[in-house]
Amino acid sequence: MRSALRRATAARRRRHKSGMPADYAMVPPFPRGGWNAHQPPFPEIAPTTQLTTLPSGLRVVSQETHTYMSAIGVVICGGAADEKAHLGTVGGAQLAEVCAWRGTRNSSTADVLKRAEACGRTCTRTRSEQSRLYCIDALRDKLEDATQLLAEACLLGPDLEAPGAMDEVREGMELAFLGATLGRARPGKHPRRRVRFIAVGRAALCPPSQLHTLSPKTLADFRALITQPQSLVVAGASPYVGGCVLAEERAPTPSGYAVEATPQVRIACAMRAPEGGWHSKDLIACCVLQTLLGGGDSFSAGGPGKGMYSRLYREVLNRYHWVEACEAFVSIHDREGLLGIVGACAPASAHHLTEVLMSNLLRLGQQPVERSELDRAKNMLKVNVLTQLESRLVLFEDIARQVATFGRRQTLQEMTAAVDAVTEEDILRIGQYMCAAPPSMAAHGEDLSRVPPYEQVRSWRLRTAARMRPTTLKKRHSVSVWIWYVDIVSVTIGNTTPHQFGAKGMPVPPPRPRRLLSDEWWKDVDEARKYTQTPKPHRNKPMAMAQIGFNGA
Amino acid sequence: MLRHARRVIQRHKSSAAVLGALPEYTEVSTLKNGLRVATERVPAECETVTLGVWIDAGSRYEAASNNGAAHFLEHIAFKGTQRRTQRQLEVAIEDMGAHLNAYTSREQTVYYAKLFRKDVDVGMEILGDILQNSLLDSGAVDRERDVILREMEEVNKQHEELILDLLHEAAYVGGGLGRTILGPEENIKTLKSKDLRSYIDTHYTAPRMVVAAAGALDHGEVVRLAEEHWSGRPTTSSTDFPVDFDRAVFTPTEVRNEDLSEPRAHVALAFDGAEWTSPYSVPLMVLQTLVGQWDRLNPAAGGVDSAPAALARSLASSDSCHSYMTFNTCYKDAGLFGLYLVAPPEGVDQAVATTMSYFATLSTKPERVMSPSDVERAKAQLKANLISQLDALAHVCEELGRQLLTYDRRLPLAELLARIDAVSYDDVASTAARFLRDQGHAQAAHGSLGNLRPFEACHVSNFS
Repeated sequence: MRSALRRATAARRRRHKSGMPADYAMVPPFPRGGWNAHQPPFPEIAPTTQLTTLPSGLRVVSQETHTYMSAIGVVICGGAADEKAHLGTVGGAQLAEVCAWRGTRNSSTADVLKRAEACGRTCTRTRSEQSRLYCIDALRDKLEDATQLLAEACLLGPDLEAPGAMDEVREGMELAFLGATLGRARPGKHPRRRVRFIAVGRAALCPPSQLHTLSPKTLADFRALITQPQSLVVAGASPYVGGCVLAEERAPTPSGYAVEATPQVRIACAMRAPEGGWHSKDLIACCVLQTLLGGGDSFSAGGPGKGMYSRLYREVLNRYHWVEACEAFVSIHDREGLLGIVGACAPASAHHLTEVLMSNLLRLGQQPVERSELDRAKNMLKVNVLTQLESRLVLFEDIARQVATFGRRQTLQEMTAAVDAVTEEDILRIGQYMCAAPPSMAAHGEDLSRVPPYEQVRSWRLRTAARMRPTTLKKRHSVSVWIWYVDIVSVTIGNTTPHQFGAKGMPVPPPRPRRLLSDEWWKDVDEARKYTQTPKPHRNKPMAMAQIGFNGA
Repeated sequence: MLRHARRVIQRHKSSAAVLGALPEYTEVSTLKNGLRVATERVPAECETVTLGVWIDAGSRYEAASNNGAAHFLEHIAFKGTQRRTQRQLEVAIEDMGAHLNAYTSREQTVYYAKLFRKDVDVGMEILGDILQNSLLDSGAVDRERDVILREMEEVNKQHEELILDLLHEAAYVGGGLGRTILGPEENIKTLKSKDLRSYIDTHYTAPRMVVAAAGALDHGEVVRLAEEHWSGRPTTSSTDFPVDFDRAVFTPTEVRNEDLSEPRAHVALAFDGAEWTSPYSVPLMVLQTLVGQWDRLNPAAGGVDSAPAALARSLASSDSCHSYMTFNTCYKDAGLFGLYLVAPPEGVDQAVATTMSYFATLSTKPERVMSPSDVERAKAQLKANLISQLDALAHVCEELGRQLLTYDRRLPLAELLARIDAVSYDDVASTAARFLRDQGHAQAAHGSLGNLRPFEACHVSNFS
């Protein structure tokens, strides 16, 4: 015992030559793998999600992740969609977000943040069109402090009466708006859907012009509107209408930052999908479809696995060198959803880009996808979702939002099985549902002169919809179909029966009446003439009378 | 010795009591040729695994004549092997839904893949294929030069990457650490297939490689697969090129790059720090979190601005700086501790002066700028930062591979947390005094530098 004590004091006195005690050295002579010798056997329990409803109506849900940190937070159903202009609550949702994690009446902002740092790392607040989410990521042994902090800082009212607090908040909102427009996100302006009470299409960010109308009363009104139990039910219908938003503006330059001036036009074309929003039976199939379309930037890092064989990569990015970025996105809400493609290019090619985006979307309703494409997309989606769900914060948000939307959480096995069960018919059905309503379009950039007008874009869809109706030919035309398929664009001329192409698997693009063909298209045609041997139609001949040989696949 | 370490842990039972109940399961085996195979089982429901190869070779091991070979090789590895063409390789990966990626740093080269648990055998086979049977076709090598030049352009547009490269050039003049990872332009244009082949034969030897896997895997299974595909790796180098890196010598110099097309000034300054295995490495991590980072603008997308540190308060009040971040980089025999700040041209001189005087005060009279509660908060934040990244399997696998290369063992999380808990206020103060007090620093400056003072005047001597 005494020798042990002597050895211990000797060890403490024997310091490292640099002045630190000996037991701080990072490479003690441990046997390799020796730490596991005394550990209990591996726990074979699969963690499950547990849900409890408190007497007040509040739902509490949790899942064990066996890590040292926990994410705890709250989801409130009620977001920008619930702002009512006539009640003066425009901008209330964003105001609520910015005021979270700030000082309350009892403690200042600095105190709140210091307490948050002592517990853990991150406090987040997210706002979407239909809900708000506040979260704190805390070390496990400080969870009680963290929960109390969450309740105080996010759910109790912030102290906006103090002088200067409103201006600080307004400045923060303005910078957030500028930050979002500078960023690479797609234009957040969904086309307006005309509804009676709820405007899902309202811009998610409060524009700076309206900032001066905000006041503490705005926030109080918004909260009163939203955090009542009866207002948690979304009232009224929000039918999809389709529309177009063009935002021709220079990206604003906040003082002190240099913005690289790349005059780009970003165009997003979307159709409604899936039917029924979050509660649709086609929800998973829609996500598989987005992965199948894929896409990305023209300069991207990463090895195989980033989607280089997805449809948009193969058919758009690898084919047209002037497309800077092209990516499929899906945006789902309570009742409706949007599935579309966003692309970026130089202003001169805007018309061509819109044609390309629309033709890729319309094709989904005309032709089933290939088996190999579908299997690849399913595997990629599963791996991506599973990788994301490893993160505790993402898992937290997934659980919270699922319980808030559906009332229960779908386990990973159910999700994997649902992804595996998607078939080509499901995708085709989604495509046909998409094409049955007018498209939505949004464009953003400095120079939008070459973007085709919305009526033109609508008419492309109508032509295709007409083609999709099963045609019963009253008399068989002796004219056979000529398909001129070049590497740039496909054109179908003449009367054809759809099944001729479906059977051979040839793509059936929307037919283009001559007046829609742009100059760029004709230029590409002239260039492509070098690579094809089939004759091209003379410009003066009406399309329906073309009589040329069938260029079989 | 084991008892000493256990005592370190037991001294801080408060966190150990809560946190010590969560075990980790790492197993390491060594094959006959010296290759190490490590597996970490993660107690969570996961269908995906991350599998990778960590190689103890990087740009540091190159000479000036073949600087850039490691990175070039990383590109060429995906361009086809003896069993698969490039397209076959890409389609094989994409059809499985897997992700295959690689990165090269100064001391390590890593190839890793994220895939389903059921595809681990295919993944191991593909990794072995691209590293051992790569075609290194000269046509592919020529075609890749333009791609790498374009990548160099993109990397140099990112200010942080550029400034840290310049800082390394200033801090390790003429040494392996001072060279960039991508290599100079003339090397990219002249490197040949035989240079890449000799790099592989020199540095990709079995004792310098670790095959690491993280997920719900069985260690025996992974070892069996590794034996099947990696037993052929030689134990020693088969060329005459030097195998070891040259010793790092810290040179307190400056690289100044006045570029008026960039409207702001970017300055990075660093002191000589501690290597991976130094006893000071954990206190330096705490010090890094203490000095912290700060950005003038509200961070977008849901983040909350953290309570500003002392340096941030003084920089904010003088209104001379847009943002700064502190870094602590470790290598095998050297390290860099410093910060990178972005400032307008009219304020950069003031910002650098404020920073240097802050470091001087921190090292001589720490009680003025640092309080015990600051240290506790920094420790909590550091623990939270380290733990929160461990959710991602890819990061767990990376920690596993990297620690086996740098520490030669796996550092259990409980031990790391205990070491952080054991750092006291005095330890942080003595660490600051050891590394920052009257030491020369290296500096790199880029952009519109305004009236930034000459380098000799940047150093604040504090004999007191």
